[in-house]
Amino acid sequence: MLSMKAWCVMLLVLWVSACAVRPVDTEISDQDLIESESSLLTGVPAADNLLQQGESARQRGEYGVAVNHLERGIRMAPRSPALYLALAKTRLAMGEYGSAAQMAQRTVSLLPAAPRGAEQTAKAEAWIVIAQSREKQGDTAGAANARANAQAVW
Amino acid sequence: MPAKRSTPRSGGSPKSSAKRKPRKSPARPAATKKRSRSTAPPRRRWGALVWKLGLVFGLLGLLGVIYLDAVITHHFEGKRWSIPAKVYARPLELYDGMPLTEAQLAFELSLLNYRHVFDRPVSGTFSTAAGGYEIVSRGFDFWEGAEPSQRVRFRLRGGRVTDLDSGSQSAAIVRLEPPLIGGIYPAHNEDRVLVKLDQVPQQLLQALLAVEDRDFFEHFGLSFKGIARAFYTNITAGEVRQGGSTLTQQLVKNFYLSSERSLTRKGIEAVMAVLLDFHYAKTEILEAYLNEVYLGQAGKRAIHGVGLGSLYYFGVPLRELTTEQIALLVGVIKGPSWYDPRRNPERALERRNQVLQIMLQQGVLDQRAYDQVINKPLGVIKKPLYEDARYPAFLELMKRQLRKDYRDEDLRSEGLRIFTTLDPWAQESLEQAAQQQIRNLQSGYGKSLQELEVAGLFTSSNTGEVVAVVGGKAVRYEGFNRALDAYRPIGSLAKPAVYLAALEGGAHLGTLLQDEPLQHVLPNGSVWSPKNFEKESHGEVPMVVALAQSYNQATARLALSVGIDKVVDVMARLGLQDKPLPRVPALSLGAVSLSPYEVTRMYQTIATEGFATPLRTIRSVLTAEGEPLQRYEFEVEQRFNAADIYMLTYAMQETVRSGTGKSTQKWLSPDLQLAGKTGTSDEQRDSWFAGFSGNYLGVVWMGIDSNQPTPLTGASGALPVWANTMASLPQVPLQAAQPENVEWVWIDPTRQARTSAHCDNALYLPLRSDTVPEDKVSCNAGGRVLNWFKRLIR
Repeated sequence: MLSMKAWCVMLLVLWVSACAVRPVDTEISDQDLIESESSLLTGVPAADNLLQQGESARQRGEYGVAVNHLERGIRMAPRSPALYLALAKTRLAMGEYGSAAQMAQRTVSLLPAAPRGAEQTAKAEAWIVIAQSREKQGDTAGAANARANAQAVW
Repeated sequence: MPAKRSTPRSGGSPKSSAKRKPRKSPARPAATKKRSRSTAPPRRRWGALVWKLGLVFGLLGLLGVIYLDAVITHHFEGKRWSIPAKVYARPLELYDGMPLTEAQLAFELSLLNYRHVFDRPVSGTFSTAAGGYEIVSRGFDFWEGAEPSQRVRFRLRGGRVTDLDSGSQSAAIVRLEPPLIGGIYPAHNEDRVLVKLDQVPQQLLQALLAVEDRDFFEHFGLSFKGIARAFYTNITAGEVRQGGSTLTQQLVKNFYLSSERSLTRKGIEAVMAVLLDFHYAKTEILEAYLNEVYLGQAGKRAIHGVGLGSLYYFGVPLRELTTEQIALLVGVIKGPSWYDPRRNPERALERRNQVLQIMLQQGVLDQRAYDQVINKPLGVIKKPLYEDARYPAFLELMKRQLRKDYRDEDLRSEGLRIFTTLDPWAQESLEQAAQQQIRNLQSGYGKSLQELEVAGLFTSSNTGEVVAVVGGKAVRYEGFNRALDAYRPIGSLAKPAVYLAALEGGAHLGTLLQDEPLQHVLPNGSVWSPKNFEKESHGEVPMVVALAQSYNQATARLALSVGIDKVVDVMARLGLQDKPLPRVPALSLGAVSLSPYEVTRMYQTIATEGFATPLRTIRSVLTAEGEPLQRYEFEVEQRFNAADIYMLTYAMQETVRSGTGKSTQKWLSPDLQLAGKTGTSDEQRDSWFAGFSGNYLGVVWMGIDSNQPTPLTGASGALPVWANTMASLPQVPLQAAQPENVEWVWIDPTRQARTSAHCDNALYLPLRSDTVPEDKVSCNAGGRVLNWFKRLIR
């Protein structure tokens, strides 16, 4: 599982650096998406600390704890897309798809129109969270749309 | 078991049979005659009767004891107390980069009663040395579990926490315990904070036993030695100094019996005390006593137990009590009203010293320790640490949200701990700003504004957490809560909904509007012809100017062209989905009565960039044992396209920069790029201001309850309250992320075309990509817009 995750992250990094024109695989599994860690930081060390604690709690499956850490982080860095994205992934893991998609939308709204580096990855991930949440809710067309948006980030 | 214990009681019955004995012998012959068939000898028959009577009384006594026994065990083993729910404000979190001023820190520390010390601080104290702070927190059970007491050093530089050091961890966060701001009380209004025996300082136990019951660990519930000693002491002193009741008896009295004074009750009390002592360990009885004991009265609220007593009189948890405070707390038990240290300090001091003396005599203190404390002052805080009515308006809103999920009964009895979003600093800032403005206006306008009222709500603009609520100028008064229940016409606060509807429909901020008189015939035949506030019209104006200057006629025309249904729809999506809105053109100018709370919901959606965000007052609820019960999670729901909100926000920023909200600059730097809107209703009956920065949103209303006209506009009434409050809070500039489909372009509104920056009448505006005019023109001389634009800049 770990190697799989590492593989995905590496691929993402490659795509970013290559600024690829060719289609990118946005079919990341739920599991990998949920387990992936943010490389985007909040700009407030204490909030980064909570982001990191929140992400490890999510990976351990302690979603309530994760949500708590992330909301605490959001109070310190209320406009940090990294925290909203982590919260969206946690809601996805909890099966709260409506809430996950909304939180991911909010993530997108907090990221710049033309993201670079870690922001770019975050934006693509947010769209994939939206795509997968919509799929789970039976909205295939909406999911395809979101996937196209994820694709368009690169 | 009870049978064995009942012997002393049945031993009492022979008394009554003995009384009848003398009558037995004369009756004997008669009885013999009458009952001639009886074979038993008379003496034996009488003996049997006595024996039987004894048995009956014995049995009755036994039944009584069994009954009392059942009462005792039932109550003692069941839930002993109804524990009120405790309500906490948000905890102060300290971390590097946290915005914090010296004034706020001083306030937060005083709210928690942290003492300033000059040597190395211990738990619940702080020192200020060499330009820095050193605080030792008390530790607290949070949602995630217990957070231990921590020692933290930091500096305040440029309004921020820096160089924070709490030992090992990097990027550390230290939370002070959250201030207690209220409770939800049972009908009998008993309040207490439960403590376990091992949380009670040893010295307090020793002092209590020395004063109230020296043989506690030896006696069986009653103490004859104690009675004798009390008798002797009182005789020699010539006054009642000691009671002979054991702690067990006192507990029984408070727990099970009325305060009636009679021999029967005393008897029952004694029996129950013995039973209680028989059933339960001394330590259990002592713990129950410590939690039950009555220690004072705070209005309707009865202060019970040493845990709450310590907070109530000294503002610190039990373990931080000093020797002289312990002596006072123990002394007060004898007569909480008579020895009330706040009302009768001299009496209380005398009593405390008496207790200290007993502690010395009984070896609880040695002479040196006694000498050290005997001359100390009482050490009582002036006001109880939390007054229940301190923030009534916030608590009211919180309770309404809480009652959706909890039964009233559970709130009053289960000892739930409720963690709210209230920010005491923001709350006090809003209160002060509101009261200051009322005073200023009343001194300026005199009698006509005697009845002027105020209400306001502030939230964390990104999360919808409510940080402060004021429901009237009497901020501590738990009465009519105007923030929630005063429905008032919102005037121009409705306008952003009109402009948002227009932007959604394809207009842009440079679209020209006609600010000219209009006559709109309504279905009922009447004519709607709104006037501008200054009673003049302004000709052709771009949308951004019409909103910033709050022109009524331009807005009315815009609303009519967009369609009032669209405006209603936008208002509903902004947060009024449950509210029946009048589908009339006058809605666009605020002909709808909303509470400040409802207005906050609308503006919250704008502040969160089109994501409706429920206003929350509660973060989580824990059980009395600290088990997590419920979290109130942060939710968002997108209701508007980010681009439309981005443009609307820009126009609201223009309102503060150059429009009707420009006087905010008296208090707040233009660098904050605040967005806002003034509101004034017909005949100036209502004065509103709503606005937000990068981290706070606030809505303020001023007016008179009976709807009298005032001389106030939104800018002269509510705005200063809003601005003053914002100025006391650490602010983050408002910088929304620019959405993908927004472009900044130079627009020539008169020609509805793109132009160049250096042209006279060019406006630099954010436009949604699909509304950017294709035409591009070169500089063009003037026009009416130019004049307006020039006037703005001037």
